[in-house]
Amino acid sequence: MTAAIVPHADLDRSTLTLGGRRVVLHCHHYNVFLQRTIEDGLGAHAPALLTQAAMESARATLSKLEAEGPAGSPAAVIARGADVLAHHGFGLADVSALGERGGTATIERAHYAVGWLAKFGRRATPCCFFSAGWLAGAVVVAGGFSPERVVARETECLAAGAPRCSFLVEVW
Amino acid sequence: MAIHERAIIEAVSGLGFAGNEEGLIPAFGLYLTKHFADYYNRISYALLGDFIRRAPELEEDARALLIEAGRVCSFHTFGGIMTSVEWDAVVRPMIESREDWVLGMVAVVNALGWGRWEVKSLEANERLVLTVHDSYEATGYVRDYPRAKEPRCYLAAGGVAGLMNLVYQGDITARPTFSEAYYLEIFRSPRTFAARETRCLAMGDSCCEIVAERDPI
Repeated sequence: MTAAIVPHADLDRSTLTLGGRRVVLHCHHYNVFLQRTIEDGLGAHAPALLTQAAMESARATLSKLEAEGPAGSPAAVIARGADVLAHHGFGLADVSALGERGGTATIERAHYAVGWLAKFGRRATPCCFFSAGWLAGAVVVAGGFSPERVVARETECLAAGAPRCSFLVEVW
Repeated sequence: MAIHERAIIEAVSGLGFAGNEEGLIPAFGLYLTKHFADYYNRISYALLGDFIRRAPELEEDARALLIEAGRVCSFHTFGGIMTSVEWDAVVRPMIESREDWVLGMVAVVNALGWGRWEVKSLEANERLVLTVHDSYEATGYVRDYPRAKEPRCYLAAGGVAGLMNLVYQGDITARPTFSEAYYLEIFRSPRTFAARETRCLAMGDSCCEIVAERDPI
């Protein structure tokens, strides 16, 4: 784990930042309750919003981290994205099959799936929009793509009864 | 001993929350994340905007939903923290009164990255006035949206109400179980605390101010 993915704490202002972006501690109760609020409120529009917002977070954060450090290979950028996910509590992602041209990734115990199961129980559809969007954002930065060229979705989810969460990232 | 805020902030910050071998952060009986404020802001203000576009009068509904998420957050997160071994080790030795539970929890909040919470006045069992500097909600709003006519710190408002309910409406000192029934008992009571944001950076104020009172608002 490199120091570059650990948020900087300003104890006087009570802020945490990573890549110039604010980081805040929150628990699974808030995360999945807020997500359910968004899903209930926006219906069919919610998955795209949740995924896009995560992609933008990843793009902003990872591109800044890349700019601050030595230039990394596309694989290194994606690995750093996975490191951020794991360090920040979202689950350990296997990105060995994910590259700048897209691919697949898995998370054995993703935060949103584990949190959803703990708070609400099993659901019918995948819930890890944040992870999907974050992985897409990592591919955007790795490949230097315009964001609209990369789409990601969760194909299987622990919270929907699958053994793990699986993600498909496609570059158009 | 009074609450020594700086010592609490340094102690909590020193816990060094980081993903374990599964990439999860189990702490205080919860799964924590070090999440991205932009993400929360984008999805929360998108919900608000969608409701307003459907009908302006729905803004109040969106606000209520987002504040409710904040109350759920405080119930579980603050509740988990205030009944944890870490609280017992760091904060509890400083506590001399019920009001110190509020002050101690505010000190812990100031290690969560949410911005600086500062208690301006606390009337036991009645009223809390608190300011927030560098609120992550308001600073994100100011950066990405035009000046607001209404306050925008929904998580903070729900959190402040929740804190007062845990301490005065419920009895956090008795180490309750944070069940759905207990939530309903203290948050649906006619005497429950509600919070309103009276100043907000998003409206052009210099900082955000939240008032929690028992009176219906």
